[in-house]
Amino acid sequence: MVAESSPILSIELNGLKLKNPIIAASGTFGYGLEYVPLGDLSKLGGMVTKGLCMWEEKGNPPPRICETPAGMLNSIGLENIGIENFITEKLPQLIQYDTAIIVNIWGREIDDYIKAAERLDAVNGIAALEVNISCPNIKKGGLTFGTDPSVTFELVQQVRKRTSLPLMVKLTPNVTDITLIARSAEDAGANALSLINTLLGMEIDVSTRRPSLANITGGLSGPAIRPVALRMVYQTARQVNIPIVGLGGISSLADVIKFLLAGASAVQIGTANFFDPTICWRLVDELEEYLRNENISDVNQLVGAIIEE
Amino acid sequence: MQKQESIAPGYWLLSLHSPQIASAAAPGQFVMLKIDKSFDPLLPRPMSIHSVIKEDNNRIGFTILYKVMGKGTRLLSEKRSGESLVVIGPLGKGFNLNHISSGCEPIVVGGGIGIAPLLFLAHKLLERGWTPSVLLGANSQQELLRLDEFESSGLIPKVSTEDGSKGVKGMVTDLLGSYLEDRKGVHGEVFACGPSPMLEKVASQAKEYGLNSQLSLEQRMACGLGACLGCVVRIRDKEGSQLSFQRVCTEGPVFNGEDIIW
Ligand SMILES: Cc1cc2nc3c(=O)[nH]c(=O)nc-3n(C[C@H](O)[C@H](O)[C@H](O)COP(=O)(O)OP(=O)(O)OC[C@H]3O[C@@H](n4cnc5c(N)ncnc54)[C@H](O)[C@@H]3O)c2cc1C
Ligand SMILES: Cc1cc2nc3c(=O)[nH]c(=O)nc-3n(C[C@H](O)[C@H](O)[C@H](O)COP(=O)(O)O)c2cc1C
Ligand code: FES
Repeated sequence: MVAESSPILSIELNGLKLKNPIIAASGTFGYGLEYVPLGDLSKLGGMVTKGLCMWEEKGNPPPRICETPAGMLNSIGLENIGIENFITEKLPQLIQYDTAIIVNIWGREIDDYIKAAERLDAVNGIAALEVNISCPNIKKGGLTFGTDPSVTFELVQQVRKRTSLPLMVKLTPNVTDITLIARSAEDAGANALSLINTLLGMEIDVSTRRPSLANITGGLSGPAIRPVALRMVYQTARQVNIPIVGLGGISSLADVIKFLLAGASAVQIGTANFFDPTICWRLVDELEEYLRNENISDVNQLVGAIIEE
Repeated sequence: MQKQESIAPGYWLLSLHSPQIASAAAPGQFVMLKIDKSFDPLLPRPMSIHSVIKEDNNRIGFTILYKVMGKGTRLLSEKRSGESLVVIGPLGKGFNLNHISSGCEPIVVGGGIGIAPLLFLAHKLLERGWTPSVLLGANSQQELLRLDEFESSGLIPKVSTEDGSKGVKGMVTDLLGSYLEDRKGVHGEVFACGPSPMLEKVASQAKEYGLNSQLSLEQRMACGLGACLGCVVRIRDKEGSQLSFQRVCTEGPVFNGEDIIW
């Protein structure tokens, strides 16, 4: 009966339909095309592009990455080819695949986000926008947009007015209470939230006494941050009514299920793509097999199904 | 993993069976090697293809020549034949042999473990009808690796050691300097791999004598596939002096000496 038919893997994120809950995370999957030799993009629930802005951004000087215990630091500096080049050079190839193409956008001031949203709203083939609010706001002395609830509200509200595409707001973990920012984004009209972005960190090379990254500080990602990400997803799920996409260190099927149980409706795979480049595809198969073996007819039954007593 | 042997203290030669990678590989290309299933070390390590292994004229595998530097390479040196490793490749753009003419004299220059991609290059050059001059340098005689392999291909490398234990006492760039001085006006192309200060010197020496140089650079890598943008180096872009960041894993690892901003 239930076990005979295929379990339901599809999910709906408040206006964004995905064939399964496995999404490749921004900045770890390039523009998607880099991974075409490794698997069929059409099998994935979705993919998020590298963070794009209205100009071509060169990014930070090297060295930009450094390995840490069970993780890595990066200070890429949001290098990207710019939205126009993305639309002409990458999107036409990407839309050949039957997967949700989610475009990650960022800016240095609210106006940059507005322009990006307006431009992308006019383009076919984009499933949703992911709004990266973990970058410095030059109008506020470089303070990160996503660390202030009122700035977050204003930013998301302005972007909301400019596009009918589903908006997924991506939260930074470098705050005292992520649920406050989450509620601001929800109130301003976000369809969904994704969390977490990288944790600010640094490393020093003892032999040279220099910082390991040219930028000195960078974002920590990978298995090392998973418990922090899981805690934040769990706390946020209790405070908002919009769907949550969980990420941070996910490297196995068990990790995927943990995030679903904590309240995420879907997950993104980031750093794991680097050390296990076919993981996204494998997780789709493993999740289906798990549901079948556990006699779960619909993946949505796992969302928030943590047992607490 | 077919075989792994120590060829000098701290240096290892690893033979891997993979007809797919071996048949697609070109000199200067590399693979990403996930050394262990654990999360520490987390990221795969880039390693050049040192040579291809042939059986009845079919490419069935390839070798990697590496130096133990840290956690990853130490762990790799503890693996034994029969174990499996996750390897992706061949990756990157290798040395470009298409534009060099038949009358051109290739000069192959390696410093330390930088000889890793150069044996495969030398074999390819010989196969295509060139006889490259080979200049190799290391700290000491012990660290002058794989001379026999170059010699058994009919090449006679000129060598230097910093401690003078073999060949000319000094650096490989000293060898290159006198080589170029002796052959002023030679129509050649320099191919080099080694530590960054050496490559910077090679680039300026080649330029001084009017030769083009192709240099294999290193940078820390995460994906090896062009996706993370972590592995960039500073390159002068097409317009001339403007800085651009280019990916060692995708636009490289081999770059034109003149384009590199040191
Ligand atoms: C395209 C390419 C080809 C390479 N081919 C070879 C090869 O054929 N043989 C060989 O012995 N080595 C090669 N290397 C260098 C090799 O990748 C590093 O020595 C190795 O990653 C060190 O790993 P580890 O865990 O032992 O050291 P770690 O503990 O990670 O680091 C030890 C030291 O090595 C440096 N390092 C770490 N990763 C790299 C890296 N990717 N490139 C340069 N330095 C690094 C660190 O900054 C540190 O100083 C190549 C590098 C590149 C980019
Ligand atoms: C190299 C690298 C580049 C990244 N670039 C972006 C980016 O451009 N925009 C963004 O919103 N997040 C970016 N991220 C953050 C990831 O999407 C993700 O939120 C974070 O790495 C945590 O997940 P993980 O531990 O699974 O990698 C980047 C992460 C890494 C490692
Ligand atoms: S290693 Fe990721 S882009 Fe080169």
